[in-house]
Amino acid sequence: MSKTILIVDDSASLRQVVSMALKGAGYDVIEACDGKDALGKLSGQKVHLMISDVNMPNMDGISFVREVKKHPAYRFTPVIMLTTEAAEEKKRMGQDAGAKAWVVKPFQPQQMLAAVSKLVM
Amino acid sequence: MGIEISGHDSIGRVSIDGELTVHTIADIKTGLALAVLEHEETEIDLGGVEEMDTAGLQLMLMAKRCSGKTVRFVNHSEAVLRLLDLSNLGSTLGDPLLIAKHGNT
Amino acid sequence: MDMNQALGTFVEECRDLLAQMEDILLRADSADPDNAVTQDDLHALFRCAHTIKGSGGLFGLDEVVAFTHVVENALDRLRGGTLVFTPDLVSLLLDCKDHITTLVEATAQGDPPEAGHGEALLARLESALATPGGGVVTTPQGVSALAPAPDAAPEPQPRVHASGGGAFGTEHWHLSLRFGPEVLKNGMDPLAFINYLSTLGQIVHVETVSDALPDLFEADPERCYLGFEVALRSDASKAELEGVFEFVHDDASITILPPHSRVDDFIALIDSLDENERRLGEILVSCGTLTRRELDAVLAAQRAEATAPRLGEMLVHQGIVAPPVVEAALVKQKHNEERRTQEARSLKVPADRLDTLINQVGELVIAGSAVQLHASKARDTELQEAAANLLRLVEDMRDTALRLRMTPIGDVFSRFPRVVRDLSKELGKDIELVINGAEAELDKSMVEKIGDPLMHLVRNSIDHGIESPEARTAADKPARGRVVLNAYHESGSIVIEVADDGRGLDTARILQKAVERGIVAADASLTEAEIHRLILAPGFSTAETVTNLSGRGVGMDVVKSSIEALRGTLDIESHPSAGTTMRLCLPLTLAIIDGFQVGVGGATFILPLDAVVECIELPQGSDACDYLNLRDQVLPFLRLRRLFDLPGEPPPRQNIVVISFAGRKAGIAVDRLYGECQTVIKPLGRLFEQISGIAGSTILGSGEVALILDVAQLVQHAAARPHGRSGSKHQHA
Repeated sequence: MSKTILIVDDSASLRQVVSMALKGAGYDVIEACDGKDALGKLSGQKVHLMISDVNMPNMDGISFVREVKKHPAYRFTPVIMLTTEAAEEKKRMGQDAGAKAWVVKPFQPQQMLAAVSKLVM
Repeated sequence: MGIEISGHDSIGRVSIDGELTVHTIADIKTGLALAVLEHEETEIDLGGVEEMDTAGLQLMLMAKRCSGKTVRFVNHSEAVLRLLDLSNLGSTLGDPLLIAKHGNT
Repeated sequence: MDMNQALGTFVEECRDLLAQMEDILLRADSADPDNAVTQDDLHALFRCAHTIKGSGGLFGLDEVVAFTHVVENALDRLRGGTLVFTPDLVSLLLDCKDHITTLVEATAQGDPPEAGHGEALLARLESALATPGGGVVTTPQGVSALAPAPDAAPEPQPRVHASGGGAFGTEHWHLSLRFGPEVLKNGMDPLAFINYLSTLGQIVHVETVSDALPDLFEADPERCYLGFEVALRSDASKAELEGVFEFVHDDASITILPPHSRVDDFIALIDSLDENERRLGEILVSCGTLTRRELDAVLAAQRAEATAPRLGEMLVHQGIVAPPVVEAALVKQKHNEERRTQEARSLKVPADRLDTLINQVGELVIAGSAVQLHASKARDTELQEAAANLLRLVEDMRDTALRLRMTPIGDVFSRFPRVVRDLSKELGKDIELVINGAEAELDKSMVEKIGDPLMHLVRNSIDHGIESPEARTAADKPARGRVVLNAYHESGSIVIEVADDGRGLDTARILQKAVERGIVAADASLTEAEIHRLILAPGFSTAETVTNLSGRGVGMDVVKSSIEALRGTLDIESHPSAGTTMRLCLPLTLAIIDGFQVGVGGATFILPLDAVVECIELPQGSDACDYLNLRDQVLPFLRLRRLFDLPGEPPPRQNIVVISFAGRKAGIAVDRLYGECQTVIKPLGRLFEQISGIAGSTILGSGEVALILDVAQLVQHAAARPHGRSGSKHQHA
């Protein structure tokens, strides 16, 4: 049974590359361009992992994680935050919101795959 | 998806379907504990388990260890076998018949 | 979809973002209040750069990432309010935006971006960042640190190898994983981490530790109660393995032992975990991390560490509980069987713990003799036998305990190969170092103190002893000089030699120097050996040019006195053009001295044997005197009975032990002479510290306590007494 991963980022090219890498590794991918879009696309279906950027228009990553974790289906779902090296504070805020994993931008597709496979078997 | 209990006589039968993970574990544990409590012997069918994680594994261990009760796991699905293999608990939580057949592995 | 297509998306995306940037920047430059830049615009501006950087990294566009990073920094400060728009800044940012466009378009064309222009812009941006806000400026180093590594799956890390301390454990890594209760709720699955480990190597064994698992009915199934012990065969570095668990760093306790870890590491691991140590040990064995034999050694060592302060108690138990003794004996036996491997497998124990142990065993000897005494009073033969047996064991144990402090001299020697290599290079000499007898043992405290004097001797040999290769060749010697470190045991002492095959000591020059410095009279007639010893005199140095090696203001006299402080001796053997050998003779331990045992009344005293010059009988009728004539020399003497106010009458024939310290002699009047003995020095308790004339105590074989006399104080004491009372009535001995 293949696992489903949600990727939330406002950069279409980033989504494309990450999605390409994940699909190549056998995952199903749902793409969303910001928090609001992601909440709209999630309708209670099973998602094994979420990857979310922090800085996005409409609804930023922190608010998105805080919101999505309220949903019973997603309260224990692991979240990878895409942080920047400089934004330690954002990382902490993300962790407080429930995103306990992170990948530092800029990253290579293999780095993302490594992080994903630490969280999803 | 979930847990089904069909106890009769002294043997309780439980079958778990779908996810045996932290997301579903609370409900499954409640049902499982009830079945184990009410029967001397409980047979847990894992044939329908599609996904399992550490939460599922530790629930299996807790059920197996229930003192004064016999708990058996049967019909392990691929997902279950994979985790038993990973945690090296095949001999503890495996299918008693299979274990007898193949020896302790 | 392929990468090229995604790259196309990236370029498209960048064009949009750059256009958005331009729009905002142009508005920032305009005076139109209706069109003013809002906070949202500033966020958007930042996000543009942020996105370009993030996506650029994904495509490996290092140039784009490095440049945009600095721009992003500036934009971050703009939205944070620590930097404000000025016309200059706006035009600078516009230029930067243009440069990003160039870089991105160049990528789209497949052309390498032109260098140079970017640097100039960055420099301008840096200085702009430095001026108005006065905040932190991102340095170019920061930029390059951010650029992605060329091939960065898990970042390449320096390989970490097992720390020193010798081989123990097996070929694989051992990971001890204990997860916090919240990990599952945080979306972390411990088994997923273990599964991931299998991508870094081969999992040899996994043991699920479920000791903390509660009862089914009480458990909160969303909490994690499990731990795992994993044996992993992998070429990964420690950092890589640690990286596996970075997401649970705050939520789990992860211990990673490299292949061939040291005993200490295993003890620390076992100590750090909650589970029963036996059980953990079994897990380590079933993981194949330790063999059964190694586990025994670890547990024995751990037990020794844990019980050392309460050894007395333990021994009481030992009478009843045999297994620990048996196990300890087994361990010991195994150690003997594998002397070779065991050497590398040493165990670090704080010296004060050993001292405590030795003291306690000493007290145990006393307690044992008390038992024996009472047993004989009770006229119970069986009890007497048991007590005697106990005492014998305890005495054996004391010897063993003393041996624990013994370490091989090789620990000191091991630093010399490097020293010799470096010094000979510095001096342009070719020198080979030969080490013999590195396994000879001596007391740990000696090992620590002998290092510096030895270093000095070795330096002297290299600096003064060995000639330059040309001089050696001219003298028909091999160009390559030789320094030999040699250690061996000889009659209860250890002898350490530092020998070179150099020019030997130049007696004529030594004598000349000694006369110049007023150390000897010009007309003194000295034997060759006496002349050699002059180099040990204070203030003597033969080095004509003070090199930065030997000439550090520390002369051979310091070496000599530090060796004497260890109750050792230093001999010099030198032959012209054949070389010089410095021979140190040291007692094996500072804790044991060769003593001379004497008795006064019921009490026993020990004098250090090397302080004893001779023994004579105290002439009859000298009861009132404190001086006697020893071969026409006035010898002051002390009566121990009077000095320590001991009860009882002196016997008709008393003896005088003549002692000497620092060239002064004194006599000690005692009732009986018992002769030489080996003595373990035990420090005095606080109660006796103030008593002058006593240096320490010891326990005799009989369990009796004997006081060790302080020769220095006694000699001083004897000499300082007023001459008045009996000074005129010299007795003839």
